[in-house]
Amino acid sequence: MKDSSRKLLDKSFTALASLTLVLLGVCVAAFLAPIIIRGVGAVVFKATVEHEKVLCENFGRVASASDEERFASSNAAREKLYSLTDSYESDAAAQKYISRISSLRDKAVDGSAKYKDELIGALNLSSALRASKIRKVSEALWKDYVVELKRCVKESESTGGAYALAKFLDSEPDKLSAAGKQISTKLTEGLKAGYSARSALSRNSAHFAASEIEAARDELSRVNAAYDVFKSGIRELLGPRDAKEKASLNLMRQKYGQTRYENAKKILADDIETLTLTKRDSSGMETSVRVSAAEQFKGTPVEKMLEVLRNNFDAMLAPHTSFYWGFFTDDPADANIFGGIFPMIVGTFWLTLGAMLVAAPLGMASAVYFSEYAREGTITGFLRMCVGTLAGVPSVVFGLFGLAFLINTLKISDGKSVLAGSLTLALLILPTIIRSCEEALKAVPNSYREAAGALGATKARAILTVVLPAAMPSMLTGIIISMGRAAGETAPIIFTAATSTGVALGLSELFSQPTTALPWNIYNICSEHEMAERVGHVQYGMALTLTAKVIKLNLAAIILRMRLQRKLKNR
Amino acid sequence: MILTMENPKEKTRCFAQEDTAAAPLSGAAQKAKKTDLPVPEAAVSARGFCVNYGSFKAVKNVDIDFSRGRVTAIIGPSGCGKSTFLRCINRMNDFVDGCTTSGLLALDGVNIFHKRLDVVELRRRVGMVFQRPNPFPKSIYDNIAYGVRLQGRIARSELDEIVELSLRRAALWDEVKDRLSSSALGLSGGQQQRLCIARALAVKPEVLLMDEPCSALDPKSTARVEELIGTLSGDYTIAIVTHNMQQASRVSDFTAFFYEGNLVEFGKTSDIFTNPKCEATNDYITGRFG
Amino acid sequence: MSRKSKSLIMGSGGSFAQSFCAGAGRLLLFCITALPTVAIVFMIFFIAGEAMPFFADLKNTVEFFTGFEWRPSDAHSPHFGALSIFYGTVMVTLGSCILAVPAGIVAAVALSEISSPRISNIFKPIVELLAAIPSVVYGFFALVVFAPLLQENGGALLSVAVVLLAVPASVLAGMCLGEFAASAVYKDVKNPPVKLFSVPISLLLLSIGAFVAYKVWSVEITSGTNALNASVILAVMALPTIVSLSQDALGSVGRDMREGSFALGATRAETIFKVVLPCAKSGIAVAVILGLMRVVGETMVVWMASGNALKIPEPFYNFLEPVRTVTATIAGEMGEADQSTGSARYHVLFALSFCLLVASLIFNAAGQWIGGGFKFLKK
Repeated sequence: MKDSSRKLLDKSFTALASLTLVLLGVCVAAFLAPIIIRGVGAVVFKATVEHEKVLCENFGRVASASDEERFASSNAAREKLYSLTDSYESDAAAQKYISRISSLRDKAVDGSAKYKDELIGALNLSSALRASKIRKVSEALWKDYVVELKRCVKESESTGGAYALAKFLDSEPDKLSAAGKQISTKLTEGLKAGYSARSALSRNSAHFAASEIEAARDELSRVNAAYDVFKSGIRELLGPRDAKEKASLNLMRQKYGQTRYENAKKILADDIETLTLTKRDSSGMETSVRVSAAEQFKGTPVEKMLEVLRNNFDAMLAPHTSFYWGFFTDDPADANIFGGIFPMIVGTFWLTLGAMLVAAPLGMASAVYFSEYAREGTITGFLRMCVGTLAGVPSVVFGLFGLAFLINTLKISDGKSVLAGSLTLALLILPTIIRSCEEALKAVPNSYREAAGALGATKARAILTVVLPAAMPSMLTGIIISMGRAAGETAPIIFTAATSTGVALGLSELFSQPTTALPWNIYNICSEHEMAERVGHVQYGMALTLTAKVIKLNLAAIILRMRLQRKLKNR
Repeated sequence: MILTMENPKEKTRCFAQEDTAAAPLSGAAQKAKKTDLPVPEAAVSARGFCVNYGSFKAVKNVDIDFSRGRVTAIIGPSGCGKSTFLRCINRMNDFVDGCTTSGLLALDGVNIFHKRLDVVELRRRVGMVFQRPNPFPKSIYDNIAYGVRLQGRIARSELDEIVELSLRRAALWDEVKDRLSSSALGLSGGQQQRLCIARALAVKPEVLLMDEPCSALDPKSTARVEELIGTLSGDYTIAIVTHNMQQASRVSDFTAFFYEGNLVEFGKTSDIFTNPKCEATNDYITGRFG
Repeated sequence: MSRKSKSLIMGSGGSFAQSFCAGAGRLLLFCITALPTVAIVFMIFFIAGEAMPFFADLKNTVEFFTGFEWRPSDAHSPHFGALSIFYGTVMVTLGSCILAVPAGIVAAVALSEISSPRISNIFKPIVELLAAIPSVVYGFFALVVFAPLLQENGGALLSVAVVLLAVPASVLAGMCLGEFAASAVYKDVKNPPVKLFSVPISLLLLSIGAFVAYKVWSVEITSGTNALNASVILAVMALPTIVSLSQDALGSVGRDMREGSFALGATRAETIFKVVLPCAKSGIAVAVILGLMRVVGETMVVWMASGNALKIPEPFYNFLEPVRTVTATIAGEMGEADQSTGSARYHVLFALSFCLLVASLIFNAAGQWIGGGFKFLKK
């Protein structure tokens, strides 16, 4: 090979290797960045006034003067919107339409006498002709009424009143049939005609008008359904309007509006500015379609509401940047939609502590045996191999072992418990601890042991007073790192300790109760939460909390190790 | 200090059974007698003593007596077994896997390799200073007090006294008295080595073994340590392994020359250095090999 | 002088007491040390014990290893065909190996042979950090961040990856092939015009890469949680194991070897490929096996990121389809299975985990064999 191309190959290999390192760094950054950035958002975020309401009413916070001020100002801003919705929904708006429709109905009843002759003539016709004749008469009889009805529906859509009108039309068929009865009574009084003619007439006449009303109601319900979607979006955004409405609701998530400004904006864009309506096609299949609210409500009073909502959006929610430290100390409420992650943190703490209390002494003792007592031979080699093998067993198998052995066989608790979880985790991290402690002990210079021995210390004494203290910092390094692993493991605790919801456990409950724990709940809230998009901040917050905890532990270990190295260098 | 076996039937190689420590000795001791020096009672004696590392014979058939209250230097080229021999005197060879011994090695007439020997007590009586200073990662005070505390609870005032006395004997007191509670690792190499000597003295040993105590020190520190050895002789039986011929001639009363695991020559230091009997000794001390 | 009067030789009682205490202490330590051994034995015993009721039925066992239909809790005709589950595990494992092994080894080489100690010192904690991050957080990332990204911009991401791979690969391959071709054509010329060959070959390969990238750009990924997602995240998880253990292996290759090679005029790349890597190959193999074990045994990431679809993708190498792995099945179904023994599903899940345990034991044995952990048997 030519020298130059050899060199070139060398250089390009170097470049490739460096590229790999850069990729590694990018990987870490790309991984941590979203978790950190959005995780911080669980604590520091733009909170709406609803956030303070939740805190004051459910988490025992006292509203400060500025909070009260914000409550008041936001309520005032909302009043504007609510007055619009009130007037839109009020009966008064529909009153003129109602009276117009009613009066025309009465007029039709009164004017029925006009068509007496035509009807009598029709009775003599053959049945098919008679039906069409009667229909024609009915149309004429109800013409004004129908025209006015259509006009009223159109008008009410654009000027309001559709809501009350729809309610009125619900009762209209009854009134209509009553009117039909009146008409037929009137006719038969003068005519003494037969029963069949009377009933045909009344049925046909009412039927014609009733089908028109049905169409009008369909039209109105379409409009009102869109308005209802719009309104439920507003309720999602702002919460229930008053205490009475609030009391009638069961779930906490219904009792409050959006607590986070970013979510509120999302609601505005997704649920209010764009409406999800169900459309029924000709075959009766219902499909949901997304329509723009501005188009849907063009030229109606709702457009005004939309405008008010847009313009007063910030005033209604009174957003301000808030530090929600309670995220770490509050219990969750309503499936983590509100509140913090305190029980999970406590649960993780207990599980980790329990695992360390069991694994650290055992691991240190084993390490002492391996490094100070064991003679290298078949048995020691076998023991060492078993430690290695245990380290390689998949964590989910540890979980199953905990379930089959600790819970189902030893019955250390009825079902899952912190104790069972801790023991399983302890077993899981035991090999890691043994290895790191052994390494630490092996790093202790032999001269310490000799010096202690030369001063008349027994072996045990020398280990306890000289070797272990000298190895302690680097043993701690290993133990701390294992602690991070115990804190983050999920699979072993799924079957032995973890539960999805619960409160922080006290010391006495640890032996019998399952607990919530960060790793399990991260899975749970990501995969099995019914409103995953609403708890995004909690997801990220939990992930960051766990990551930060583990990183903190590792950082402590790294710093410890660095100090140790410096100390060794100084010698 | 003569021991009688509790079970005389047991065939042990206890030196005391065969002989008393004060009895006239053969071999090396005989040679020593010829030097007109009054032989003090021997503190440590070896007869036909061998050390093997597996199949390798590190020390072969050594007969030697270390006189009480005198300084004995052991010289010889690297790998001649002098350190191995020294370390056997307080059973430091226990720390080495695969090390076996045969023959006799006795402290005050008691076989050091007796199977019921109290190793802890032996090591208390036979102190040791190592090649590299090896203070524990503890405070200066705790380093000195370590050995004393091992022997049971002791009043603080008494402990203070012992610490001060030991440090004074090791000529370190004036340098460290103000920082007894600071880490021993902060001392200079020479100071650390004197600390190790003080640490060994604190348990009041009878014999002090020094395994090239100055090899890791600078000349000035070496001089201090040598000076210290001079002041300690008389009270302690000292055995010192050294590579440094001048040092051996300066500090020791007797000198033993080891070569390839054998004790080649043993006698008064002045005799060895001025009038060696063996060719090998002469070659070594004149620097022809080693 | 009271102490001095203490006899050097202990009485038989004292001697017995001392050796008894020492022996008892030693025994206690030994017992504690034997704990992992006991745990392994118990683990095999209990997992096998719970799996036995399932394996006792030969028909079920045969179906377990050959069937595709997995309906363990069906009341009328339960089916226990776990082949697609095993296939999912194999697929995800292979996928992550393809990504992690070369990257891990190259990164280890870069850290221990190429970069300055300062950079290595920066990367050491980074690698440790990657190893320390809990698997559920990786799973979280896969599900919440990576899956939507993949679903929405899958084609673009894939083609960026293709480009990233294609550029260095085609340059390196072009150089090697060019060299080869030039020396084949100009047999007797001392300095053959290598560039004449290597540049066109590189360009050709590059354009093939670009074409593939272009084709891939329009790929639509229907589900962000799929075998690719799981493989990528698992590869990242396996990286720290592979990197740090390989680095140890490379570090243990003596300085003199390298210096010997350099002294003979070898370039750094040649030294690495011809001296250092062959010397460290058993250590690197152990690193790869341990990394692999982490991938096979990993639960949370595959549970959250693989999509958990009970089928073999079509075509079978399609990484863009969801799959389901052994660990995810155990974790996902054991929660639902009535955990208090008895049901068929309970036992078949233990049968699955028994297979997993056996696989991990085999992997481990292989790793220890290569790494010299079995030396004690040869004595």
